[in-house]
Amino acid sequence: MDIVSMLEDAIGKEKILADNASLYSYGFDASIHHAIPSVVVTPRSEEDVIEIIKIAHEHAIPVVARGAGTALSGQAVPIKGGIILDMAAMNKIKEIKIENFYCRVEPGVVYGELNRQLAKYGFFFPPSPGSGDVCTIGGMIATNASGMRAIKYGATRDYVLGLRAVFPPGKAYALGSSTLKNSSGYQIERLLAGSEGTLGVITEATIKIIPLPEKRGVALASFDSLHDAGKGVANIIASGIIPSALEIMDRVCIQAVNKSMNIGLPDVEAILIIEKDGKEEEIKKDIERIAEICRKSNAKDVVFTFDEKEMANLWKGRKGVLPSLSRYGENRISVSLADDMAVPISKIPDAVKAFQELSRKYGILIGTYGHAGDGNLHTKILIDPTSEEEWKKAEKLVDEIYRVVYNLGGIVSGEHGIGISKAPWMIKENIELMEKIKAAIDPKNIMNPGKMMQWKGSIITNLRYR
Amino acid sequence: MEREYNNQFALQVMKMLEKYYKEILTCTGCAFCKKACQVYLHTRKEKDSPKGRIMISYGLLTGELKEDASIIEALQKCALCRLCESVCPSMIKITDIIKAARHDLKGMLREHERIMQEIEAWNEPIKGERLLVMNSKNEIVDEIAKKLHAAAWHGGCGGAIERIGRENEMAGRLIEKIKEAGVKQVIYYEPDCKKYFEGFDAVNIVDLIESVDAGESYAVHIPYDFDGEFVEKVKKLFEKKDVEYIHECCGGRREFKEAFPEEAEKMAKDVIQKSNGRKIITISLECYEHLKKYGNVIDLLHIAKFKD
Ligand SMILES: Cc1cc2nc3c(=O)[nH]c(=O)nc-3n(C[C@H](O)[C@H](O)[C@H](O)COP(=O)(O)OP(=O)(O)OC[C@H]3O[C@@H](n4cnc5c(N)ncnc54)[C@H](O)[C@@H]3O)c2cc1C
Ligand code: SF4
Ligand code: SF4
Repeated sequence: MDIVSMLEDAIGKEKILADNASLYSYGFDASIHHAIPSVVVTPRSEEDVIEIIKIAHEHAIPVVARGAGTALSGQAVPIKGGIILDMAAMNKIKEIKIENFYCRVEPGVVYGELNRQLAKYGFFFPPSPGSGDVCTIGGMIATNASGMRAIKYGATRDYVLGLRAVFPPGKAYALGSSTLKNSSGYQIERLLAGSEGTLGVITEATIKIIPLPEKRGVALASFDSLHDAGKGVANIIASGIIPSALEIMDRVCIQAVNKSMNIGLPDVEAILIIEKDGKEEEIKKDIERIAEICRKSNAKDVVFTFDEKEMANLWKGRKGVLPSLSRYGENRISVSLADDMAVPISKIPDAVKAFQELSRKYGILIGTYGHAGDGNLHTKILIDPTSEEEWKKAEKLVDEIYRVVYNLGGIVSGEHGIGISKAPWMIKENIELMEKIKAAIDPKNIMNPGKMMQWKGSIITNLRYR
Repeated sequence: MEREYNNQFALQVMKMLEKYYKEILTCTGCAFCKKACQVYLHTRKEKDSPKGRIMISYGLLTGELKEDASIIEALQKCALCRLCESVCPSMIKITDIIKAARHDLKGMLREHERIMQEIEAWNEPIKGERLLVMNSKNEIVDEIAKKLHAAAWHGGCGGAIERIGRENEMAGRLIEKIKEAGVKQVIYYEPDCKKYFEGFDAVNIVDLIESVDAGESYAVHIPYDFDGEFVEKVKKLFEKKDVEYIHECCGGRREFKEAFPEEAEKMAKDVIQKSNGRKIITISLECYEHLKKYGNVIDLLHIAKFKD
């Protein structure tokens, strides 16, 4: 029997998609890669997932779990073919337990929707990835996603109390707990955070939630030099104030956002957007102090606001960097390469400067922005995706970028994850142990094979551009 | 069940899509557009999302995908409501790409074939110097025509044919007929129709409305795909009232509703739900005919008072 018929028999025809339009469109995430799966399955329950994994294990067929497909490094692309497990239909919020500080959700729940529901109780789940309006809780856990608020609130992993997950050969486990503290053995639920679907399929998550801050305030500081902006970051951190976000954007990003979004960011070398949340009186004082610190760090101009609409507008500008860059180059588009390195906070200006130098050396436009407050930088590289030459050049550039990052004491990914496009630059020492864990849990190597430590070779592969 | 379609595919050249090559490459694949697409939110299938349709168009353009029933269906299962464009941070011309892809398709859904035949077969006599061109058989059309001392044409100007992705020959024939009849002034409704009436004294019907008699509590349904100038005119009619606007698509366009009745019903029910129990005033007769099956709805023309 072929795979499609086996799956249809096991969980029902209506949950299986094997038409060309589906197979082709499920082959993309938000990365540079594309590959076509053999079949797409849309499970509605953990029981469905168990049946699928049993079949996949028995016949050694690759399985790639998928949330919203917003991964930036090819994590959700089925490069070895096989089954795409679209978890989007498992999207129930099962319970919200305010008194116990947790909620229990299915993996397909969209982050933004969960926070809309939690807000009714005055609570939230903080990680705030830029893709939060569409990405799923399952995808966030599997990539250990985070965002601009990580500086104060940490990443998704820090909020995973418990999980249910299905592992090969097709058995579900309850991992962790719903208690806030847990020193009861290996925390396998946290191992799944960042596992990129290479170990098991998350079918339910118990997530820690916390009360929403009373109020937020935002300052926007503009700088004529990157170095001063970096100094501003260091001085804010050194002051003891813990902002709820501290973002940096370089000139290329500012111009790209202004070109496509009409938000009117100041036309300078770099800007910092700093958010402070908490009690009203406290944030007013702190935002004014932050403004003062920025001025002392040579900010050309500092404005601040407590108005919800104005703040939303500023954040819209920041969140729009990534897509706006795609409109920036005349004949070039932005591609997701070397997009997410983390360096020690004090090294940010050095990193950004080095990227700009590399940009000149290779004649490739690079936009740099990111979470300056926790050392997590994003770059976007603008190339002509139809030119083989440019891809070759870009790969060399990426390699040099990561060398700089290592020399500054940094790592390859702070939040987006590894997938394919960052695989060659993972820290070598970790790989051996990761492979042992992977082999123990998934002996037939069916779970998202060929990703992370398993990817060997050039990253310019399975390109989605033709 | 495999959908019925006309499958006369020859070796295909994606003529229209070629113009959108760079535009498609510019799409970052971020998927932000998914959150706005009512069709996707109901089916939760990637091919039914705006991003999915763009990628499918790309596959057709590069030759990696060959046209088949699933591809025709995915490309046609879009109401062209443009809500996705309102949230796309890269400002991708999503519906232009989808329309170009449809244009290049060889095959056609059976429902669309039938709709085209019906539209093209429409005929009625045109008399007089003033003509009201509407795409509706609702009796309100005749009532308004009478009030405006105009003759009425109920067969529209073939917008559905264009949206399906075929040459709109109906519009050309209508213009010929209008010329023959010696019509001087054309009154039209949908802003999209204006382009056909160049050279005529063409008046939008909304400009002839003096006021609306709407009652107290209601929500106004203005689908997002109507052009800005037209929407502003409509909003002016409700200026001093406390109104809530609903921009979501109800799935009521004929070519969508007849090909995808299940999705169209769900979309209509969503629009009704968004009104929070208030009466809905919709600005399109097409939406009205669809929405009224599911809730308390009236359309603008039914409550309009016309200028003398
Ligand atoms: C515009 C944009 C902005 C972004 N901003 C951020 C940001 O600020 N911070 C950040 O961290 N990331 C960001 N990302 C990257 C991406 O959105 C996140 O990694 C997100 O968490 C992925 O979620 P998803 O639902 O789209 O998962 P997918 O892309 O579908 O999948 C991602 C990975 O998770 C695995 N997976 C998904 N569901 C499950 C499951 N149920 N069980 C097991 N494995 C599963 C997949 O196999 C895959 O390996 C951004 C992406 C875009 C396009
Ligand atoms: S069309 Fe726009 S919103 Fe949708 S995936 Fe492409 S860039 Fe993102
Ligand atoms: S136009 Fe409307 S129906 Fe079509 S893809 Fe965009 S949001 Fe979906």
